[in-house]
Formats: sequence, C-alpha cells, structure tokens
Amino acid sequence: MFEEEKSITLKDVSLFGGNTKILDSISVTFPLHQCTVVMGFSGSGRSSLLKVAAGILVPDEGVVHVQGKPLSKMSEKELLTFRSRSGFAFQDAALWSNLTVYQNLLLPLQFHRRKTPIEQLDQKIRRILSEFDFQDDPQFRPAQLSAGERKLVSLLRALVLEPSILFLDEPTSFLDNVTVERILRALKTLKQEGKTLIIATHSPELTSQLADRLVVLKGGRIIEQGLFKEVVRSKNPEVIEVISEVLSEAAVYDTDILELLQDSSNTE
Amino acid sequence: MKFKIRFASQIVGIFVIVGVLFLATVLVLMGINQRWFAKNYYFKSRFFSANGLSVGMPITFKGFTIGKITKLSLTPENAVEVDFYIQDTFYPKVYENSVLQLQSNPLGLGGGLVFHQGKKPTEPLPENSYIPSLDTLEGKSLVMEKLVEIPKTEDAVTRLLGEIDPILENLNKVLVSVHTLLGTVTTSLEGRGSSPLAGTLRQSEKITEQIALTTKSLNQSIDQLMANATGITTDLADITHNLKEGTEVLRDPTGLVQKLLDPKGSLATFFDDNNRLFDQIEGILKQVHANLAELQQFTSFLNTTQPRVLGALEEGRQAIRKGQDVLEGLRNNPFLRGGIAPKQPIPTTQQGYRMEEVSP
Amino acid sequence: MSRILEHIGNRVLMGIFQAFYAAGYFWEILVETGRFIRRRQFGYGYRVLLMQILFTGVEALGVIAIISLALGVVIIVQGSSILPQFGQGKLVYAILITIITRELGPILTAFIIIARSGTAIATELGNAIVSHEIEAYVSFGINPIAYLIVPRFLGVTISLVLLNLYFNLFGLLGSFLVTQFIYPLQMQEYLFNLLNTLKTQDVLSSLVKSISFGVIISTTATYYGFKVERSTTEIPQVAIKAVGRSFIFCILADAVITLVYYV
Repeated sequence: MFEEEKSITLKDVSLFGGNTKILDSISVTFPLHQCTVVMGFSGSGRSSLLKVAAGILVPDEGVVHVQGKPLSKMSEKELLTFRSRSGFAFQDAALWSNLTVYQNLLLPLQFHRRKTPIEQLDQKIRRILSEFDFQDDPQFRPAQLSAGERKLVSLLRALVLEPSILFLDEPTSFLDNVTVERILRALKTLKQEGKTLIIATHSPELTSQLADRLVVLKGGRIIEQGLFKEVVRSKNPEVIEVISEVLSEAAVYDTDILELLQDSSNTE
Repeated sequence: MKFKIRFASQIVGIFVIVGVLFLATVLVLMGINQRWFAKNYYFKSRFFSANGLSVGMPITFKGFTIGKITKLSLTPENAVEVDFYIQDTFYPKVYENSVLQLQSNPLGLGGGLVFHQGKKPTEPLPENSYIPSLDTLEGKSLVMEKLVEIPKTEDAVTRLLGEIDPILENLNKVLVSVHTLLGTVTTSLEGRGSSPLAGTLRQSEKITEQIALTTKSLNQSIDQLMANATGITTDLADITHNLKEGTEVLRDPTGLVQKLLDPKGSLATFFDDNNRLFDQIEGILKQVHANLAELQQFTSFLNTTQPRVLGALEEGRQAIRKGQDVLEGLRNNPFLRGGIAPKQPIPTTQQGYRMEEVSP
Repeated sequence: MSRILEHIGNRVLMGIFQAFYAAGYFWEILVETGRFIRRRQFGYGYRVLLMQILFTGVEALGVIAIISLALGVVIIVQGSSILPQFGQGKLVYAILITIITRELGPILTAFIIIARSGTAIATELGNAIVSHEIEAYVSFGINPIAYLIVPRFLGVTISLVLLNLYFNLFGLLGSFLVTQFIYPLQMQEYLFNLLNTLKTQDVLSSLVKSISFGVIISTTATYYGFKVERSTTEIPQVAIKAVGRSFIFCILADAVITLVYYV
C-alpha cells in the first residue's frame, strides 16, 4: 500500500442520495504523482467518488484523507490551500452561467492570487486560451458556446491555477477528435510534470495512454482497484464485464486494451 | 454591454446617495422642528394630585407650548412631584415668583398646565429650581402677595356665555330709560304735570336732549342688542303703544291750546307781547315735533329690526345647540383616544384660602 | 395507531431539525456577512452586491414610485376632503405617516421585492445547483455563502431599505406635488405639519421593518434556492415556496415589530 502522506485516501466512505446509496463503504487510494482512472457504468457513482475525493461532497460516512490529514479536520486555511492546489473539471462543464468565459477563468485566479496584478492574470488567461486553441470570443457567456467548447473551458478553468491534483470527470466526452488529441497531449505533459491525475472516463484512449492505476466501480462499490496492468488482467468476471462493457460503450476501440483483455482471458 | 450594466456602479451610487440624503434631510428637519438639539432647562414643581397630569403634557404660556412634563412621582409625604422642562427660547421668561396652574374647564376641552410669569422681571431662575404650583401654599401666597397675577381663565364657550349677560343688562337698562322717558313725555303732554307751561316747555327741552342722548346710546348698543332675549318683544310693544298715545295727544290742537291757555286764563297776555311767547312756543313745539318724529322713526326702526334681533337670537341659540352637538360628538369621537379625561374642578384661590382658614 | 404516532413524531423531529438547520444557515450568513464587511473581499463579491442592488433596488424604483405616489395622492385628497368635516383636518398627516411610513411603505416594498427578486434569487440559485455551479465554487474553495448569498443578502436588504426611503419620498413629497393640481395645499404648512407629526419612533420602526424584511426575504429565497437537489423541476417548486414563506414571515414580522413599537 501507499503511504498515506503521499496519497488521497478514502476510508469506508458512503454517500446517500435520499434513500439510495450512491457510494457504499468505499475505501480507495489515489497515490500522488500518478494517474488513476475510475471506470464504471453510467450511474455507478464515478462522479460522486471524484467529488468526495476532491472534497466537494461531504461523505455521510467515512473519512477522506489528503496526504494523511482528514479533510473534515482541516482548518479553513489548509482547506483553501488544498483547493488552490487542486482543479476539478465537471462532467457537465458547470461553468458559471452569469459570467463570461473570460470571467469564468478569471474568478479562480482573482480569488487565489489576490496580490497578482490584473495584467498578469489577463496574460495568463490569454495564454491558456490560445494554448488550447479556443476559437470563440472569450466574452461569450457559456450558454452561447457548444457543449464541447463548454467542456473545454471547464477543463481550462480547472487548469488555470496550475494545480498539482486534477480531478477530471469525463474530460473528453462531446469533444471532437482534434480537441481530444490536444487535451490528451496536455494531460500527458501534466503527467510527466508529476501532477496527480484522477480521471473518470470511459475513453479507451485516455485510459490506455494515461492510466497508472485503475479503479473499477459497480453500483457504488469498488469491485477492483490496483495497477492498470493488474486490474485489466483481473479474473473477476464482474470486472471483465465492466471493463469490456464500458469500453464497448465508447465509440473508439483501443487495440491495446482489447489486446490486454484478450491476454487476460488467454491466461485464464 | 447594456447601458445599465456598464454604468451599474454610477447608477447604484446615485440610487444609494439620494436615498441616504433624503433620510438625512428628514432627520435633520425633524430634529430642528422637534428641537432635538436645543437645550432644555429642567425644573421641579409639586401638585396636590396627579389627576389631569401626565408625562409629556405640554406647559403653556399665553397659549404657547413652552415645555413639557418629563416625570411624575409620589413623594413620601404624598405630594406629587412633577419634573418638567422649559425650552431654551422661553427660558428667559422664567422669572422669580412664577407659578404653575393646572387649568380645567367645564366642557372638558382645552385647559392644561399653564405657566404664570412672576410680575417683576428678574434673571431667569437657575436650572433645577422649584416653581410652585397653585396647589401649594407657596403658590397661593405668591398670588395673595400679588407677586404673580392669575388672569381669568376663559375658553370660547365660557366667554360667550359671559358676554351675553352684560348685553342683556344693557338692553334692560336702555328699555327702562326709554320707558321712563316716554312716561314723562306722555304725562307732560297730557298736562298732568304739576309744573307750569314754561316749566313744561323747559322740561320738554330737557326731554329733547334726553331723547337725543338715549337715541345715541341706543344706537351704540344696538349691535349688542342683536344678541338678545325674547322678552324684549313685549317691552317693545308697550313702548310703541305708549309712543302712539303720546303722539296722538300731542297732535290734538284743541286739547293742546286749551291746556296751554287754561292755567293762566288770559288770552290777552298772549297777544300783548307781540307774538314773542307764541313764536317761542311755536318754535319749541316745532322742535318737539321734530324730535318726536325722530323718535317715531326710531321706534319704527326698532319695530323693523325686531325680527332681525329675533332671528339673530334664534341663530345664536342654534349655534349653541350645534356647539353642544359638536362637543358631544367630540366626546364620542373615536379619534380622541380614551375620551376626555374628567377634570378635577380646581378651587379658586379665595375659596382655598377660606378652606384653609377653616381647616386648622 | 402507533404508525400515526410515529408519523407525527417524525414530522415534529423533521420540523425541529429543519428549524435548527435554517437557524444554522442564517447564522452562517451573518458570520460571512460580518467577514464580508470587515475585510475587503476580492472584487467579485462586490460586483455581485452591486448587481443585486441594481436589479433589486434600481429596477424596482419605477413600480415603487407609481404605487407610493398614487397611494399618497389618494390619502391626501380623501383625507383633506373628509377629515375637516369632523374637525380632524390635521389627522391627514397622522394617517399619511401611519400608512406610508409605518405600515405600507415597508410591507409593500417587501411584497414587490418578494415578487421580483425573491423568485429570481431562488430560481437562480436552484439553477446553479442543478448545473453544478455551486460545486464549481466549492472546488475552488470559494464559499458559496460568502460569495453568492452574502452579496444577495446585503443587496436585498440595502435595496429594501432604500426603496422604503424612496417610497416615503414619493409617497409624502411626490404625492404632495401631484395633489397641487387637484387640491392645492400650502407647501410650508404641509411640510411643517408632516415633520411635526413624524416621530423618531416612526422613522425607526420603518427602518427596522425594512431591514428585517430584507433579511427575511433574502434568507428565505436563498434558503429555498439551496434546497434544490438535482432536478430542474424542483426549481419552480422552491420558488413558489420561497415566495409564500417570505410573505408569511414578512407579515408576521410586521405584526411583531408593530406590537413591540406601539404597545
């Protein structure tokens, strides 16, 4: 197991939505400086797991440790530091609809870099927009953008603070291939820089090219977690089912994974 | 960007400033109007009872509110101690020997706590000094020593009632004098007077003067007459009757000549003095005639004004009745919260003194 | 039978829990408001506050002006034609102040703000929850109460107080000017009598009322806005609830304040 100081650890975490259990006593470790991909069917609780790990949702039971310290016991200042070091890209973009694209990117910067002059913040926003080749007017409101652009802005917003921990909830869905490529490249760079990536996705591309570790969710419970290579070779039929089904849901098949899956079934 | 959004700060700024300015202005004006910033001078007084007194009750001087009661308390000796203040603008009026009086009136309206200034102008009393009320010995003795004057208390209705009496009296006087005058005229003209003709003539001269005087006084009091009672009518009828009688007697030439000639019995004397006496008599008679004509005119004037006087009286009565209605309405008025407090009748100072003289 | 008891018990417990929850929520708003005022926050909160005053205060000014003007004119004309018949002509000032300053000023502005901004705030926050905008704030460590609720709380309260002042401005002075065309009165006499009738108590209770209504409306609207959990269908429901509750709380508060001040 990984040292708690070097990971985000969830212990017996449960989350209720009304009378149903969204997360059912989950214990999972996301080691720092690695890329963990969370897999599962739609509605298996992936987004919730990410949100709990990022401290956005407070679990009804269990504890979340960030580098050995429980989130619930963090002081306001510590929590703020954690927030400024982490970025979260939402599945549905969750851009602030009453702000322009530009303001959406500016707000976190203004909040966390209060002493930085506005010109520097402006430069930063312009740089990141051009880096990802954002075509539209940054003075547009989110409602004026396409779904794909919104997702892109959401990702940019998560990246604007240059966080060391990134939570990405379906970062590539709805996006065209060019943009996906661009994001993939950026994420690879981030991974090389030693950032922690926690990604919920069913994109075989992202999974095969980025994942160090794999967490497989089903019905709010973890059925398998571990190194990517180990998990994909799992003999647990449930895991095989989830992996193959999730991957077959995706439009693009990745040969690597399919090979791996075949490998695992061969060794059986 | 929309105009409103671009200039949001300016618009909101104006919105806030105008609102706050309005509030500030109102507060300042209220403060000036209600004297928040003016200094009040506090004094003490004592009353026999707190009946009719209340905190916040205004203290008036010649109809101006000059201060207010701030506190009422009962001393161990069961006297009512009253704390009050006098506004700074009226403070110089607080001379020594000033007193307070709780006034009431029979109709239960008006009245209040009245400040009476000491007669002799002095420096204003120092703050927190004691200003006696008329309930106390000190206050009464100040009045007795004539150091302070208590004017007669009046309200509109009392004044009205008070004014009617002298008018009635006046009218009676006039009527009586007219009556006696006419009586005298009648008797002299009838020749029943004991005096000789010359005397009678002299008397008739006097009468003429008197008539003129009376007419004048009548003219003067005619305005006041307007306000009075029904009894006058019968008197006036009497007067008219008398006047008629007198006039008729005066007009009868034979009677007059007989009566004129009879006492001396000599017609010759009449012709001997070159018509002098005759001319004189004629002149006097003409004058009498003229005066009588005037009197007749006046009588007819009185006759014509009689309905007007009656009308005025009737109107007056109606006005008083309406006034009563209004007062009753006021008593029952829901707006006058709690109705009108029953007023304690205040004994006059003289009575009080008598009572005090008796009581020990 | 036991099931009914259980049901009642559950309802009561829920009610108590909700009351505590609402109290905690209100306390949180107060704490954050204190911080908002004490330390200079970054510009965003002020921007939200500014916009809130613009939308709640400035944009409602027209409605307020019309209502208060009309009301003032009616009172002056009716009052100065009827009251002198009872010899109570001066009562018109007391009636003006009672109606415009003490009672209808605060409560009518509150009603207009509930209808305009109460629904808007509840809907906006509900939408923000459904589209996960609130979570986005949280993910950046931006406290939604400090940056979404406090500016609205302050904005609505400030707007309400200001609108109440404008209601008085239009209702007492504007209506006087309008009345000049119909029923001329002496300006000096009018102002003098009005200022003499107006008591500190009236001004104070009017201000206290509009402040409490502002607090009630903003707290209720944001509270119900935050009650949305995940679906857009909840939004109109909470908006209606926010409006209904705001009305009830405002009227109750009005009664309580009036009792406290005038009994």
